[in-house]
Amino acid sequence: MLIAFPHMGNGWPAFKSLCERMGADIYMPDANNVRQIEQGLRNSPEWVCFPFKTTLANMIQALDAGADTIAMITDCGPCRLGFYYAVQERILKDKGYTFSMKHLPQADLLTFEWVTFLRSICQDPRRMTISNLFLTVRIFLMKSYLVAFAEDFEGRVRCYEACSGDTTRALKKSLLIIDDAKTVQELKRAKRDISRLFLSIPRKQKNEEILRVGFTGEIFILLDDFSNHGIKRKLGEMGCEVVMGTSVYEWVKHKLHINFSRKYLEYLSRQHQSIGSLPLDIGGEAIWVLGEYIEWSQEEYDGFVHVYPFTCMPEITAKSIINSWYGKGLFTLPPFFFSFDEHSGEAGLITRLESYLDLIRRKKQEKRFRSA
Amino acid sequence: MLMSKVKKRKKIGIPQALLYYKYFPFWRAFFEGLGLEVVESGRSSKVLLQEGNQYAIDEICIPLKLFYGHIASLLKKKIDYLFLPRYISTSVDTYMCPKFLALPDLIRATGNNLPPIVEMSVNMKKKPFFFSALETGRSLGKSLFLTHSAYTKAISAQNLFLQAMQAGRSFDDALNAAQQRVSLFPKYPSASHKIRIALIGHGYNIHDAFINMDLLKKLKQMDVHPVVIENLPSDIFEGKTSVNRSLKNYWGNEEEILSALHYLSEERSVDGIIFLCSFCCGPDSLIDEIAMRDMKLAGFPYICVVLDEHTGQAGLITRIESFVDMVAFRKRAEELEKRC
Repeated sequence: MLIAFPHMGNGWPAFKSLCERMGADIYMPDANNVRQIEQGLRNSPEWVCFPFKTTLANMIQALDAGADTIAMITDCGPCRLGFYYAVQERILKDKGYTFSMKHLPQADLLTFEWVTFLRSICQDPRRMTISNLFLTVRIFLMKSYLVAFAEDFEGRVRCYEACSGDTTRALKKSLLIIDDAKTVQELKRAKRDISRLFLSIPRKQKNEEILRVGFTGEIFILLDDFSNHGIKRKLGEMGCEVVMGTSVYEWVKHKLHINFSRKYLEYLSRQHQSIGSLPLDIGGEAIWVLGEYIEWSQEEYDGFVHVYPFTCMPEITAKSIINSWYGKGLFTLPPFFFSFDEHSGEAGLITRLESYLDLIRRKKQEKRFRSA
Repeated sequence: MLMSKVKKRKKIGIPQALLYYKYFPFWRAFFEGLGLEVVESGRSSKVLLQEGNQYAIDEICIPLKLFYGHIASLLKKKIDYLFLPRYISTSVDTYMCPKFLALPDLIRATGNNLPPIVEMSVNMKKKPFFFSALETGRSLGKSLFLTHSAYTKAISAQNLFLQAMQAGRSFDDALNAAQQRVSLFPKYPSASHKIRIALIGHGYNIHDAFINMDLLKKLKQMDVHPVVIENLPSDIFEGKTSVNRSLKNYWGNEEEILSALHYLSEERSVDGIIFLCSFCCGPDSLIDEIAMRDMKLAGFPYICVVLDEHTGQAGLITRIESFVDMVAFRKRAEELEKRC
């Protein structure tokens, strides 16, 4: 059994460990790139959301390379994610591939349906012991935590780097460190190594004013560097400290019902129901995005960047609401929205980003001037 | 004396868009039973769409843009309450599209100087439908008894509407029948039309003559008998539709679409299927893919027409005409084969 799973940003070391510890052989598709997603675009429905197309492209590449099993997560609605694996399986089977699709139900991880998934990919029955499962989950959680840790570091550190590209290299190196660590002790050591790696990046002597930008949105586009055209890197290079809204670790914690920061965001959103905030989870990250917008506008943030795939239903709802709030003057944090699909022209994106940063920089100066 | 009493009735505005095309008989009878006067926003038009575009953001689907327009036109009518439905799930294991889940919030965030909003939050996952109606009645300050009697009247009105639709009446006729409590619907004599074509899709795409550029009328002019989802027997919607062996469909509206598609392709009571969906519709982007592949397997004529705010009719007419021609050729060929 050669198992493959589609990419979601830098989360692959964690998912890889999940399959590895069950004794399955793994084929890793290349990181998303323009040539690879072409196959996905050709076989996808016309205006389905972008993650569908990239994940399908990953699957096609893996199947061409000889993988016979594909693992894919699934959800219970109301967003489109729940349909992904079924439609993708259909498309691929119609295309003539023979393989088996294993789906990982993650609507509620406390129902322990994921154990069935692990059993279905498990090659060695001796590995299906409770102690091994516990260890697998622990390592998965630690790895996803470390990925989130490295990504958080990356966002905050890049604007200080003296030599452009150092932070990106450090992130790549830390992902390899996470991937190499196989035991709990090694992972503990890896955390120390990663923070050393980022802290040892040489700093600029003189710094221009640093802007603090919250970066949030739909989780796939947010985490996948290719899909969002490296918007995080671009923000960092233009002198912004980027604070990530979510990560795979946060997501898994949420599904285990122990993510209290998300519960606080939900609470914030419910508190503002009278001005049109959402009282319930409508799929995607909509309710938390609204909560984050409220929270960050109360704190010292200068900008708010919201990314999502084109036609994403929940995020568009969140966008409409934030847009009208800012338009009415209820909040003063300037929001900025990007929807992404397969169009790959970057000039428009950079121009818009630059003008947005000019705007928030001026706003910050004005604020300081007024308070002085 | 009577006049002054009539004048005192407060007005509740119901936007004539989205779920209006599915649940309006219920809403009208319910609010009239509660002693309110129901004001509709009027038919969709280009003016309403332009007005809606001022408030709506660019990426949402055209039915929702029209919804904003309907709200704007209602606000001009001096209403006392604005009714905004929040249909979260209409059965235990389905959801509605995320935009329906957030409808009142969207309007609340966008609108200025809105009248008091009356929500009806329907979540069959958590509570029976009657409880939602009770909450709505309570939010209007009505007694339990009044709400209950309004609810029973409303349910019977909705049933009358569905019966009329099943008997093949048009949407407007069925609305009138529900209003006037006509309960007997003689079957129309079997039509002399050569071709029967099913129009499948969300109610607001099928019955809103502005969004689909009066497609029902155009089909009738082509001597085609259109069949819509509501005309089909109700028992086909009882089972759950599944997408593959492990996934059950979880969208409320799409449940009907999928079961109708399966029924029609098996029963062959129509000659072809036109699937109407609006551009950017999330659920339909995947349902269309599934339907297309299913129909290909069944060897059944199928076309997907995507609707957006472009108002040029030529492209739509050409496509529909060529589809109808193709279906007619096919039917003639089949008849010839039978005769030989």
